[in-house]
Amino acid sequence: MKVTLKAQPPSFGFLRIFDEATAEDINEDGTPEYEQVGHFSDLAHVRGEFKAPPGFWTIHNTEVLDERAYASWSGTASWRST
Amino acid sequence: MLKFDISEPENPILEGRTSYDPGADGDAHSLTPYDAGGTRYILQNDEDGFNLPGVLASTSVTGDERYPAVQQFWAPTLLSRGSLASGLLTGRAHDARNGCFGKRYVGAKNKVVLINVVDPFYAQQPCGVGKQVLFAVRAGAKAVMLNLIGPDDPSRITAPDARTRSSSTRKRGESPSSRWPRSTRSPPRSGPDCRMGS
Repeated sequence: MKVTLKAQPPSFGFLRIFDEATAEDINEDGTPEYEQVGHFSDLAHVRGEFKAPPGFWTIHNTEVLDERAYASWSGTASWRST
Repeated sequence: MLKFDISEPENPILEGRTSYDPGADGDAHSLTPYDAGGTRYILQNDEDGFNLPGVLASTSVTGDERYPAVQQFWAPTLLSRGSLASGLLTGRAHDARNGCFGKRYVGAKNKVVLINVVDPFYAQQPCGVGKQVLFAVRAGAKAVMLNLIGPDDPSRITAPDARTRSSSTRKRGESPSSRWPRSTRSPPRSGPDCRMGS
C-alpha cells in the first residue's frame, strides 16, 4: 500500500462568510450545515507563507455597521519565539 | 459556529452550524450576523495563532478518501519546508501497530510508518509516543503517521465530514477505520489520521 501526504496551504485565521440560506444537512446528522460563500484573507502573511514573520497574522473579531464590516486583525509581531 | 433557538432558554435547540472544507484548520473564534437583500450572512472570524499547514492523507487502496492530519511541531522535517517544500510526500506503508517493540519496525526503512497511539489524556498508554517515534527513526522511516486513539481523534473533530460534500458517504459516528484495508493489518479504531511527522 502506498501512502500520500499532501500539505494544505499554510494560513492564519481569516474571515469566512456563510449564507444561512444554504443550510443543508450534508452528513444527515440532523443539524444543517451552512456553506461558505465568501472569504477575505488578502492581508500580508495571512496565507501561503510558511513560516511567516514572527507574530500573529490572524483575524480576531468583526463588527458590522450598515454595509460596512470592521475587522480587528493582529498584524504585528506580538510575540517572538526564542 | 453553532446556531441555537433559545426561544425557550431552558431548552436550547441546535439549528445549524458552519462547516469547513477538508484540510481547513477550523479555528472559529467569533462571528457577527449580517442581513442583506433578505439574506442572513454569518461573518465568522477564524482566529489562528500559527500557520503550520494541515495535511490530507490518502492511500492507494482507499481511493479518493482523504484523511485529515496535523503536523507535529517537534518533527525534524515539516511538509512545506526545506526538502519537502512541495508539501508532498509519498511512500510505501509499514504498519507498526502499537509500535512498542523494535520488532514492529523491521522492514520500515524508507517507508511511511503507521503507529497507533493511545491518547494519554484518557487512558494509560502501552508505551510513549517518544519511544515509538525513536523506534521509527532508528529503523530509517521516511515518515511517521500517528493514529491517535481517543475521543480527540481529528476525524471526529473535523465533522461534518473530512471528505468533500460531493464525495461524502460516511455518516457521523462511522469511523473511517472500517475503510482501512484489513490487508495492512492496521487496527485503528478511529482512522489512519491524526499526527504525522517526517
